[in-house]
Amino acid sequence: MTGDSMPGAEVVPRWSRAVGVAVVDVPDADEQPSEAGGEHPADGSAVPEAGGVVYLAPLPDGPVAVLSGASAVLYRALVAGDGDPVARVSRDLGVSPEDVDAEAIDDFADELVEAGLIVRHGAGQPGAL
Amino acid sequence: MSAAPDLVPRRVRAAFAHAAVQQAATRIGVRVLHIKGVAVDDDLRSRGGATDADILVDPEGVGLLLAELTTLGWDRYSDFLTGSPFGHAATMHHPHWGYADLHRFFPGMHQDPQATFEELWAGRQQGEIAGFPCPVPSAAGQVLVLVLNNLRNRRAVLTDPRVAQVQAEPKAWAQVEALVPRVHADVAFGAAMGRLEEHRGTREYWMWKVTTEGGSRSAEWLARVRAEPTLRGRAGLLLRVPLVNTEVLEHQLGRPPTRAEVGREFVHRGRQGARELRSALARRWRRRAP
Repeated sequence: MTGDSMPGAEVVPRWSRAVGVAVVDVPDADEQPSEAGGEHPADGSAVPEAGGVVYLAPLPDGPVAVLSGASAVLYRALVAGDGDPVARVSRDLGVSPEDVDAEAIDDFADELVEAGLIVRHGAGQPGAL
Repeated sequence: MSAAPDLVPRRVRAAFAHAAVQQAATRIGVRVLHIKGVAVDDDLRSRGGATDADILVDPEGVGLLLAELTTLGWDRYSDFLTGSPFGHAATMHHPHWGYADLHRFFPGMHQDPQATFEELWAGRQQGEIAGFPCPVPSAAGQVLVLVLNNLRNRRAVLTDPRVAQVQAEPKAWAQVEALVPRVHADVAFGAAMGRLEEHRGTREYWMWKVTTEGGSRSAEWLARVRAEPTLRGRAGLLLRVPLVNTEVLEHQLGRPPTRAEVGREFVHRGRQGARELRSALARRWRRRAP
């Protein structure tokens, strides 16, 4: 009997980017891209935001979803597939795991699933990619 | 969460354009190679980053891909025939992904587009753009595209640090030189390396002479006509010289141009061409006069 099939064992949910969703991850992006399309406004006033920006594009129609700062950190933690998202968020933001609200991460994941940007596996669901 | 296209950096949208075109091409079974911009190795990228997606399409499938993109919400921004004198690319525009230039061949290696595409396809590598697998040319192919692109845009080739870096590696440069004849790029590559005179007398000579030394748009067109191998091709090019790029005119006006506006532009281009021709003849006459 393996650990996976032990009665009562909790299945840790895993997420991955949904099929057909393109991604551009800019970890050191400025907070607000300029309207002209560059990442640095002409006056050079932008301050890099911790966490950067993740752009997600559901192809072929769009629109682009922009996750910046903490949202970008949460997205990366969800799709990293290397363990517990809480631990990853705690590491990336430099805070203790107790200070990370696991429920908020779940809510955020649900939002992304609902938007068709990520898929949840585990609990019997097949992988997406 | 969703953002207006203007708030997404152009280079990010360009990456999405690559992925979107690849997705469409895969669905209909058309082979494409992603070139320039985010598609090239880091060492060969320009500092500014690309603002559109450049894609070399299997010449046999280019019509199919254009039709597929149109059904997916892309608009034709400019056409092969009304674009550059080379007639090599059509530009598509999507409200979210921005611009994609679809190349049916690449200037400088345009003598046999199908054979050239097969050669580049055979040496392809698997790249990844915006999380999508996207085939790109070999390292040598990417350098050759960079060299020929610089040449066409009248940018320095020999002093480009990206080119110099490859030249400093004899093995890598030898691979570029070996690729040149296989894609019939001898004259253009020679022009880029400052050895155009070695190719005097070839059909393409004047085309690259005008490109490297500068010349009016009319001179560029006439040189392109000279380089065309067939009579039919020459006739086609001559007929296109005074054509008005109605797509660009429409984008400038922000609405479809009226017949009168197209007519005015046609006359304007004709007059400009005549002026350029008169100046060229006068210069030639002055040179010949004792």
